[in-house]
Amino acid sequence: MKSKSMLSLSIFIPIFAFVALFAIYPAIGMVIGSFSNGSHATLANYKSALQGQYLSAFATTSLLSLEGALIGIVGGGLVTWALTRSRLTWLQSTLTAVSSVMANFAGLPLAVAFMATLGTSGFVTIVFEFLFGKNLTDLGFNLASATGLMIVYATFLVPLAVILLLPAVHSIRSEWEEAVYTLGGSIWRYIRAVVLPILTPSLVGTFALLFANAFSSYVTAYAIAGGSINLIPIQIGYLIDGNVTMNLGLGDALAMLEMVVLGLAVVVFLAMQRIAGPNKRGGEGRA
Amino acid sequence: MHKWFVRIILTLFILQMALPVFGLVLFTFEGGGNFSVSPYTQLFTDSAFWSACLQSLVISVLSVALAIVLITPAIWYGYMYYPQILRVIEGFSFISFVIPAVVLGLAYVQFFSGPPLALAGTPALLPFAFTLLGMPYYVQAILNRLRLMDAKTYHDAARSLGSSAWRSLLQIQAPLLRTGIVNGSILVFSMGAGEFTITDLTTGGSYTTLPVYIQVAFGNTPLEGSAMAVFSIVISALLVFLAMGAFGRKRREYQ
Repeated sequence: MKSKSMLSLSIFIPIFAFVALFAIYPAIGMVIGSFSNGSHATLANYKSALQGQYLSAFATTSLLSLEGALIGIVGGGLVTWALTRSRLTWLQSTLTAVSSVMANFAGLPLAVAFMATLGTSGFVTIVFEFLFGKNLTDLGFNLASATGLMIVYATFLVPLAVILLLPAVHSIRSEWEEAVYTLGGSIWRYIRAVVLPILTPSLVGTFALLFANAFSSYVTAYAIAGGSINLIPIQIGYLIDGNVTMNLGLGDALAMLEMVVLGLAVVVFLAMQRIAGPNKRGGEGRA
Repeated sequence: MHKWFVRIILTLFILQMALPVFGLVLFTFEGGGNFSVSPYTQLFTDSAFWSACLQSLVISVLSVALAIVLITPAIWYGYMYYPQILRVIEGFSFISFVIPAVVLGLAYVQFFSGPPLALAGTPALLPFAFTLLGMPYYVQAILNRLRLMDAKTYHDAARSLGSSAWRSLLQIQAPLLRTGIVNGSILVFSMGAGEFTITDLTTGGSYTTLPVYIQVAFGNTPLEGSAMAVFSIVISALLVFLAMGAFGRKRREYQ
């Protein structure tokens, strides 16, 4: 009997071998690399990773990612609420599908789309000037800025939030709202006493995942902001692209620090999912 | 007032998603100054474009095959008998959220460039990387299906009638799991078909998938590059609607 259960456990070998070889082995390699200067152990990589431009890159990336996650959660929350309130099922399913497409719209195509829309000769810029006689650039708008980057990020963070929040918002029955009103409660009472307690785990978990998603954006950020905004993924990209003299140890250290941040966010997400329970988990439709 | 609020929010959301896509489409038609469909005719007669599509297709199909073979049996068996192991696998599946693409690329370049695994510089790493990226979505697609279809009852029935676990998996569970597998596969496929960073870093630009070619084209012929981006948005929209269709069927089966 014992040998039989050992045999049946062998069904798990391929998946663990896969994760070990293609995720854990490289990750351990990076841990070692981050503590090495090529010949012996050192903390120098972390010292340089935690000062000067790299430290400020961490601050900038964290701040922008927090902002992006906030925009995503507020926008996504409102849209999800509106979606469940609209009685049109075709609109609901179409917008959910479109959200899955847009949540993955990133990289250079997204950047170019925004240059063609809000860039100096983008069509919205031109239409705006035609309608109001004012140029967006003269009004201080610049796509290659933190504000511009936030507008671009919102294009995939809001739909992502919608996909992640939809199952939880769906689990709120409209009868509960009626029950609160019947018992003399106000809409604020309903939101505070019913909606928020149900949604809090999903909102916190989704916020964490949006933060992680924004934090690790590389190609999009690089294409929109180039060198004008100092972000961690861009710094890592510089270190391996050879624009700066190749410094793998420092790259590894930056990557390790980024992974600690992302790891914390994912742990929060998973913990919140566990609290929310299986019926309210999101992400099914995400492509 | 309630109703108007709902309408305003949804309209703003639709505008937010539609405007950049519309801007991109408009640019492909009018970027040269006058209205012209030439970026698209150029695109469809460009043999390098089609070979990039083919390369993307090959890698994405391989990634899907790998995900199906590697992940499905383990998730299914864990769900049946070893919920603790399933939890561990589910936790591991989120590893791709922790290791961002640029970091995974950096790691692969460093640690798969010498013997015994000198894979960097070739496309051999890509299916594994894309399966890893798609793993959280694939695992959730299978788990959703398992939870919905009451897989345990069917399995216990098959077992009590003397079937082996493998036979139950292949002949009874696999057909029941099909919509989950299809859904998960579409997610992994679109993940692979759209990936740029890891492809670029690990192959050093030597393997031109569609996203890599789009990147190159933006540099040389921006209009054609934009036309390609429109093309890839259309493809991924089709894939998502296909997945929704599979999901819709699943619901009907149970009503």
